[in-house]
Amino acid sequence: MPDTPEPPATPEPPAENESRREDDALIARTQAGEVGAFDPLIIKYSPRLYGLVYNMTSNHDDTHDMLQDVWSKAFRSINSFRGKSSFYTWIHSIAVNMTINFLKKRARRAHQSLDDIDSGLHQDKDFVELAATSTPVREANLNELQKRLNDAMQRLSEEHRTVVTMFDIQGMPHADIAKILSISEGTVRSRLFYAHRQLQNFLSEFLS
Amino acid sequence: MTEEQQLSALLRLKRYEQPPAGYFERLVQDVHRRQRAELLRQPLWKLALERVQTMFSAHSMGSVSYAGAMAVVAIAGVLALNLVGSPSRDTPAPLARPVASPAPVELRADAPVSPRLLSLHDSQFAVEPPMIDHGLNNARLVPASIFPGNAPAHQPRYVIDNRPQSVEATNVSFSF
Repeated sequence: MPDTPEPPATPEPPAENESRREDDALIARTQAGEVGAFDPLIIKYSPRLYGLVYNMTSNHDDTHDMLQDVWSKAFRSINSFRGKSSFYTWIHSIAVNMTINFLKKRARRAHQSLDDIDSGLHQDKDFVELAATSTPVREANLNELQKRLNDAMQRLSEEHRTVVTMFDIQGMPHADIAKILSISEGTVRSRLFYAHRQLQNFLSEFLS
Repeated sequence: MTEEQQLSALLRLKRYEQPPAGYFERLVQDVHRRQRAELLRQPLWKLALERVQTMFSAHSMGSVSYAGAMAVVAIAGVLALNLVGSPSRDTPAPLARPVASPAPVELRADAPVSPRLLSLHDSQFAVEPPMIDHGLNNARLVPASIFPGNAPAHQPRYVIDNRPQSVEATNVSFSF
């Protein structure tokens, strides 16, 4: 089995007990008919879902539409949520499945990336380290780097892109990914291994 | 840094691709709008189906819920078939087709008499035919019902108590 690095410490998956208790209370209120109780869940999980869907679609408009669809479906299905898994796992499963279905239907078209990358990137530890060791990264325009990363991601299959997004970009542990995708942890590691090999080829000029 | 570590670090840079500030607050409003639009677009049967599904899931009957639902549907189907199959007591029976009354047979004294005219084998009528003297001097049609025991009550038969003279010459026998 390939030796894949553990994900970064941040961001932590919001599956702690306190967070789960809050979620359960909001879900119970929603299931009881208090529709406004669903809004805090949208606000809490949308940033993570946005990253997940955006890195799978590489398109802001598609991501915006998909998020609305995901939350609408989740709201319609809230009575079927029994709490066997956390809401975090449940909503991510809905988002991943809907996005994969969407990608299969979507005609191949030009990607539209976000206009701006957060300026905090320059202070990011990873970016600083990369810039120190890789001349192309140091010299690349940030937008150009973003475009190349998105292009490389889009060349992966949907399954490989999904695990890379969840593991490398969102920092989810293997166990969570396996639960969300309903596959074994071994399959997650295997997909990551092959996806990384392809990405190393696609991005070889940025890797020393 | 190894190539693998460099790749991971490179991919983590994508975390910085975030939407503009205030996007997620607007997203909540957009989700509300989408939900209202979906409600308007949904056909009535879909709303009813969702309500039924919600009802079954809300009572947490587990695995028997679908079996129970199927049983209800099956029973309703059988009842509906019975209702459709059996005629209703309230509705009147369909009108019987009017039986065409037989055209009166014109018998004239000068018309040639054929045995067919006297044959009443095909007759299905229980009404007493008119006693008309058709020039058959001694021939007279008398319902058999006036001779008790001679004929079954349900099937009227007619007998001729005398042979017509004109027929005797031809040696035609009538056997009823």
